Amino acid sequence: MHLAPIPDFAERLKAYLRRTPWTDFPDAIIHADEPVVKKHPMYAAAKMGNADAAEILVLETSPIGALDSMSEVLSGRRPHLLAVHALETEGMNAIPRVFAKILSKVLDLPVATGIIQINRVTHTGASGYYRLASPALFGGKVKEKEYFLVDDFIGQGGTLANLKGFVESQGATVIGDHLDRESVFSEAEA
Amino acid sequence: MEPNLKPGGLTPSAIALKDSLSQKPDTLSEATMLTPFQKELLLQAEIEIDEWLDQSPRLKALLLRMRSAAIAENGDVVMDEEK
Repeated sequence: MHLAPIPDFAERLKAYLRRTPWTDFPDAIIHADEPVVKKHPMYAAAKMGNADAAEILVLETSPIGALDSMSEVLSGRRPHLLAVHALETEGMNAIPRVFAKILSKVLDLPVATGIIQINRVTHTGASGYYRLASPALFGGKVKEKEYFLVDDFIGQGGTLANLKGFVESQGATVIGDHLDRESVFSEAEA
Repeated sequence: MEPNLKPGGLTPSAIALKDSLSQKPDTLSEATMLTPFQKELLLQAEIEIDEWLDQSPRLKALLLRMRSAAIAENGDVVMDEEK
């Protein structure tokens, strides 16, 4: 493989990477501990695009009680749920989209369409340094005024920060984020 | 559009996305940035997943259980169908 020269790569990142201030942004809402999700028999298939497996995984690992925290953050607002929809190492990760759609049904919230991750970052099993060097980039049409981000995992928070930056740099607002699981250390799988 | 899942639980676009990964990239740019075709498939997969989940018996059962629990807790809850 021929590597692109570093200046070209940096320019490419600059064209897409946006960050916006975290003023009063609430803590991420975590649904489940990482080992519970990663050891689930449906996890691997869901990460490779199996929507059926993703539905079972989300329904079996996400306690309904965690929705109370989300209702508190929402405070009556009705943002569009925006999933980190990405093509990963072995296929499309189905978990975030399925998670967002289930939350939309349960909480009677709209789910956003048309915004996707436009690069493959292969963060699975990667170090924190690699994650910083290969940030997730987003593209698509920002059509709504308020979003609530949904992903299956948070490590260093860079992916969500970049998605927040992408939509907010185009005039929308992100009012919170919701994760299926978390890990304290960035070396963990994403 | 065909919202049903194919064998393996993948939507048609998810299968096409998986197939697109078998083509080895020549440059870092091709390896990291999605092609226009992959972006289109990813957007399509989003719609396919939504349509499939709209028909999901598991999700319908969960919503029914939640609604029943809410009715049991608050006797005055009016079901959508009765409005």
